[in-house]
Amino acid sequence: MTSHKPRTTGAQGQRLLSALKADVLFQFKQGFYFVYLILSLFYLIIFHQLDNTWLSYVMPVVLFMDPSVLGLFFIGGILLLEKEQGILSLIYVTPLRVWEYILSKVISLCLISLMAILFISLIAYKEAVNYVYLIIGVILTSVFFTLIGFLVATRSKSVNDFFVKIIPWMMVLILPCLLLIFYPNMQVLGLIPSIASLKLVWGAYHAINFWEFIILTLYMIVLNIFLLKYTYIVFQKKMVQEN
Amino acid sequence: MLKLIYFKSDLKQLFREPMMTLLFFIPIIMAPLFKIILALGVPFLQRYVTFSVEAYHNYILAFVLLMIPAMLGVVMGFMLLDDKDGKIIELLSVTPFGRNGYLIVRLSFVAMATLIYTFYTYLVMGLYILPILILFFIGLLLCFYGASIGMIFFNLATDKVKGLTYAKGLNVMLFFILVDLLHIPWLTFLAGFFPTYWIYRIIENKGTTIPIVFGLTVHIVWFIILLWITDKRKISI
Repeated sequence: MTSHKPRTTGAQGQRLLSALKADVLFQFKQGFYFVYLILSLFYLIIFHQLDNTWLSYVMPVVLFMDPSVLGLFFIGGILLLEKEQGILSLIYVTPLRVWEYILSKVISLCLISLMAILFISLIAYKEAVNYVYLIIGVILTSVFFTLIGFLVATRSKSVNDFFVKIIPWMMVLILPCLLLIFYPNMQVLGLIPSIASLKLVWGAYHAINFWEFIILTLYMIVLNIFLLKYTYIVFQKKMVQEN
Repeated sequence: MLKLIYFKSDLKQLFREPMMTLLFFIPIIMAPLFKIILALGVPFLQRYVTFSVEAYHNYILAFVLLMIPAMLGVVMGFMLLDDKDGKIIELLSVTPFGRNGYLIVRLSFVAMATLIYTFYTYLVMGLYILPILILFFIGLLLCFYGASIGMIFFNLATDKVKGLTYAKGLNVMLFFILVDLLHIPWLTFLAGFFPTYWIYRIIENKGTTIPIVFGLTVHIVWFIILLWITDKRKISI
């Protein structure tokens, strides 16, 4: 599909930016930002009552479990609604490329995660936080989960079908994180993507070893690139061509 | 007889969609799952904390019980959205059964399931002893809560993405069961306007009149207001 479209390098960034603007606006209209503002306020109220020791344990786990992985669910709703509305078919007649379409969705959902997490952490956490680690951790986590959601949505017939399919995925991805409670020092667990993500977010609050951070970051970057390419292939094949 | 047919049709719709079936039957798995988590997690947690987790059993029970109508309400909301998309409501509004009959059946369907699951969850969890009448009363309030969730979902959501967003947002109400732990007067006052807070208070105070009266009032006021809004909006017909 993309090969038929003219290649104008200067316009690529502009197209992505326009798609991103449209996605952010759509998510704003759908109430994503409002809901996460309310949720963040409630988290702030609860976190305000916890002392710093408790907060250093509770906050990274809550931030990982909720705002970081929001893309896993929302991408299914967005993608399948656009499919139902016939928007996907319209990609054929616009200069927007499949890559740009996927990236725009991923970046826009990542933005909500990032905003919610920074809002909560900056206000509620009074001790030292490595914000570079936190931002990198949240971006890699959010991209990974959104792409997984994207893949599942691509193979789903409807929003309802997506939810049935995403629940086992969610369990497979999230439940292994419980292993960290029993084996906190077992490095091999970092091979499980959700655990690597949790370790990155956790590391921002618990001064993770620099080299461990680098290894986990590189691992997640490689994984995300692979996932992005795979999503592109599957999405192009299953949805765009079907349309 | 007519209503029985509609109940059957609701069941058919429920089983036709795997997602609906899954959400509808999750409460069956949820209670034993929580019980297992508590059985394994509490001894582990007790090694690190000085307080007794047993003191928080009332909060845990309130949370698990409130999850039932929260989930079933969303199921109903999705079913209503499906019917709206399929123009079923439009069709029924011109039959003797009418739009109100349709809503009554939908709401009673969720209410009945909520009541059954309330008793089931209470028995399986076995966390906290409640007098049977109080449990029945809580079950009734949860029925109102489930129906209210469905109506909020239905009135606010124009499509399933919005529905998904509001389902997430509605979970905020579950926070209110914790407000007594936070000791923030304005928040406790605010929580008093929400049904979830009163479910916890009734469990905590076991039969004291004030939470029962306030709980009933808040649930009925929410239900009536939402019913009125749903009626006024005529569900986009």
